[in-house]
Amino acid sequence: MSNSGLSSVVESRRLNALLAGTLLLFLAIAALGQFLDGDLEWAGFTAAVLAIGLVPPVARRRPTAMLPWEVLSIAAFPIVLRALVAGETVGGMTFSGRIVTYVAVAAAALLIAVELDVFTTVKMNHRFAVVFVVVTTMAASGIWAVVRWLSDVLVGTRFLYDGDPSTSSRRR
Amino acid sequence: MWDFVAATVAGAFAGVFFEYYFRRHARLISRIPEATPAEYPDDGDVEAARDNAGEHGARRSVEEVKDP
Repeated sequence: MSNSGLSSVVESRRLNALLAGTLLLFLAIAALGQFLDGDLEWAGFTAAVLAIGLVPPVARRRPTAMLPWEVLSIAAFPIVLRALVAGETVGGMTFSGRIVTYVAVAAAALLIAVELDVFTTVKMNHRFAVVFVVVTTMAASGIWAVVRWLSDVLVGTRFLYDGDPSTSSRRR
Repeated sequence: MWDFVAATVAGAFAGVFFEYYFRRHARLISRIPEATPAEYPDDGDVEAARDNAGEHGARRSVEEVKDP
């Protein structure tokens, strides 16, 4: 990479901490907004992403120990996108925000992978790094489904089960 | 079932992005002082890269230090 002014700005420690802190603040506000809006499913997901993002500065007790702002913006992107497109109808097609969910789960897995790679002594070779993110995404997707199911069973939400016994078995 | 397949495909893209951007090009060690040098094969190279890193980041990459 060239030694340009742009690269020095992008690689600034203070700027990284500032941008990452701003994105974490945005996630906190988004989680609160979703909770107040009654969107408990996404409020929980956003809070989980926020919690993952807060681990390094809390564990190291230093505000500069932030994740790279790029990975936090990737994690925040699906949350913004869903707020913009979910329920919108374009050309007779209504966006459900389902594709955004896949992106969000992969972004959460990417967050965990970058966190482990940057802040721990974990060593990964190139192939394993790719496989690790894929497996973490699958794990996150499974945990997400289990959490939704547990919420339906224990709290009485309707994330997976729509209340009609005749459709619950046919959906899978 | 298809949700998991779609999430896995998204994860594959995320994995490639992780390897090619965050591990190879982002030079995170220069802007996150608390970062551990585990991603590099040789800690000596990382120390040399750290020595060349100023407040605004590394002036030379690890690859440049290895092969000046």
